[in-house]
Amino acid sequence: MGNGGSKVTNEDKAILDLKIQRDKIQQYQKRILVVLEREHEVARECLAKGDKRRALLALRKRKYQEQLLAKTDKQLENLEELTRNIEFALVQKDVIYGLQQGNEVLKTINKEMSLDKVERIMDESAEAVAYQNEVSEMLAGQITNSEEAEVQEELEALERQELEKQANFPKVPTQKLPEPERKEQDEEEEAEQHEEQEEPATPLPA
Amino acid sequence: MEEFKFPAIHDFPPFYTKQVNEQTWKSQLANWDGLILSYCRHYKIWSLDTGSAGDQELFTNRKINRRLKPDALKDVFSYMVKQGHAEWLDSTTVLVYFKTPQEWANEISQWITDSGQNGSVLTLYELAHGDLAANKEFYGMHDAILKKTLDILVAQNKAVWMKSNDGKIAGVKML
Repeated sequence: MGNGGSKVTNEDKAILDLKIQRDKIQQYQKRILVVLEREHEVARECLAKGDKRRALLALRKRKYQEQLLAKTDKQLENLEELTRNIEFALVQKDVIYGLQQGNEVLKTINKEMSLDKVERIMDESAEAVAYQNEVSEMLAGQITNSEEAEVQEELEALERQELEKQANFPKVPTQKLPEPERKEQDEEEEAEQHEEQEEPATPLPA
Repeated sequence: MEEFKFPAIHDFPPFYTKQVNEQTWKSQLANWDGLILSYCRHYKIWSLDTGSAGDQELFTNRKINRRLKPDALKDVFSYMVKQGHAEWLDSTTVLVYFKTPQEWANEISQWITDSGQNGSVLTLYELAHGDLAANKEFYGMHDAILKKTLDILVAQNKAVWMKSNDGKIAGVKML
């Protein structure tokens, strides 16, 4: 019970006392109801015997018991109302405590969010944004470099095309060699040599 | 309330005499055990007294003019106690456990939760005779059985005993 005592409050004890009183009244009411039934039976039996006086007496006793019952009904109602009020007050107390706890938590959170701290955060955020912008501008500068690289590549591509044109000429004379006779072959060979001499002249102006 | 229907063995004359044969007597005890539990469950009889129980229709069959003698009755009760279906309250009275205190504890605990009474203060009277319990099987429970049942709930930390101003155990707070 010592350990259990810490879980039982004074309000709990008050409720227990009220409920005990309520139980006693309820039990008393049950006894009265039994008496009421009994007196009613007595009255009926007396009438059957022709004893009207005793029957009347029994009914008077019954009426008195009914009045007592009505009084205890009122007492019971008062006790139950008081018990319910206490229980509801305890619920309200819990609600207020909950709200109070909520307020405390809110205050604690607000303390951690002081205006100075907010300003500092906003400044840091602005700095971060500015830094990001500078990074973007620097990246834009690098794009120019890549464009120059592309230009260089295009130039190299054009040079390759010209070299390919030179490679196309030597193929033609190799095909002519087997067709003509010896004399004709010599003449054609001389012609080819002249053409070869002329060919290197063309790239020089380029 | 609907009348209890006795099994056929209740009309069997030797059923009311302690049998000499060991095996037969044990079988007879088991039959009485089952019959008593069923009858008490039906009529919500929470305790039986060796002095007065013999007069009940359960142990006296006027149709066949037979009744269980006090000595045999005591043997039957002792058998029930060994089976865990009863417990001596005093030298002549047994509490009848058509449900064990543990089973009652589970039932009451479930009812407390279902009816939203956790955290409530409840009197012993209210638990056994209150309006909220009127439709429950434990309604009208014997005070001694109720206390044993609540002892279990207290041991399980589901309840705490509460005393009235005169220092007597009067109720519990359900946790």
